[in-house]
Amino acid sequence: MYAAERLHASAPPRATWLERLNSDQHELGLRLFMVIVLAHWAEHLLQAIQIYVLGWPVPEARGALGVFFPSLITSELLHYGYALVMLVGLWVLRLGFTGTLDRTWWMIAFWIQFFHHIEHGLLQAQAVVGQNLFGSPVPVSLAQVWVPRVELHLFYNTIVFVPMVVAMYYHMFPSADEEAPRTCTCAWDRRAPSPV
Amino acid sequence: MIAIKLTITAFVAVLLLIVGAGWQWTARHQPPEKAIASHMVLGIAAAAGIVGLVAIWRPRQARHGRSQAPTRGGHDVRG
Repeated sequence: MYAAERLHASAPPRATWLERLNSDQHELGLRLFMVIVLAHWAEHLLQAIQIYVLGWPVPEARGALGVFFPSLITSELLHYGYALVMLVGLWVLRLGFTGTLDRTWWMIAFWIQFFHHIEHGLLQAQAVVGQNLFGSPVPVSLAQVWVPRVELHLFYNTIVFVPMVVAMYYHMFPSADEEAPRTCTCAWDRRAPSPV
Repeated sequence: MIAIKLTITAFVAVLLLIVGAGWQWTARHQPPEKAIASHMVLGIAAAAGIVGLVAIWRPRQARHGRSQAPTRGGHDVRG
C-alpha cells in the first residue's frame, strides 16, 4: 500500500509545473506559502498590538516594515499584490488536497479570500482612478463603509487563515476513513518507514 | 501531531487575546456605530478561531493508526 502511494507522490517525468506543485513539490509549496502568510500575519498582529496594547495612534501603527518604510502601509498596490498572491496560492495548491475534509476547508479559505481580493481590487481601482467610493477622502472597500480598516483586516485575515490551517492539518493527518489517494508527501503517516 | 495542535492552539490563543484587547479598545476609542461594527467582526473572528480549534481537537481516528505518533525519520517518500 505504501509502495503504491509512493508512486503517486512522484510527478510523472513529463508533468507540468502545476502537477509537480501538487505532487512531489506540494509540501515545499505549502511551506513557502505558509511563510508568506505568517509574515503578513505578523505585520497585522503587530499593528493591532501597537494600537490596542501600546496605545499608538492608528496612523502611526504601521506594523514592523511600515515603521521603517511608511509608504509600504499606504500603498494599495502592495495590499492588492498580497491579496492576489494569497488568492493564486490557494488556487494553484488546491489540487494536492485530495481528501474530502482538507479540500473542503481549503476551498472555504479560497472563496473567502476571493471576496477579500475583490475588496482590495476596489481599493486599488480607486487609487488608480483617483476617485473614491461614497465620496470618501481615502479609498474604501465595501465593508469598510461600516467597519474600520484595522478591525476589518484582522477579521478577513482570521477567517481566511483559520480554514486554511484546518485544511493543512487534515491534509497532514488524514482520517482513517479518508479513501482518496494522496498525491503528495505532506501526510505525516507517509513518512514512516515503508513496510514493503 | 500534538505539537502541531499545540502550535495552532497557541497562535489562536494569541489571536483571541488581541481580539479581546481590540474589543475593549474599540469600545473606548470609536464612535458607538463603528464600535458595534468592529465588535461584530472581532466577534466573528474570535468565533472562527474557536471553530478552528474545535475542528483540530475533536476526536477522530487517524489514518493507518499512525498519525497519533508519527515517525519522521526513516525512508522519505521523496527519495
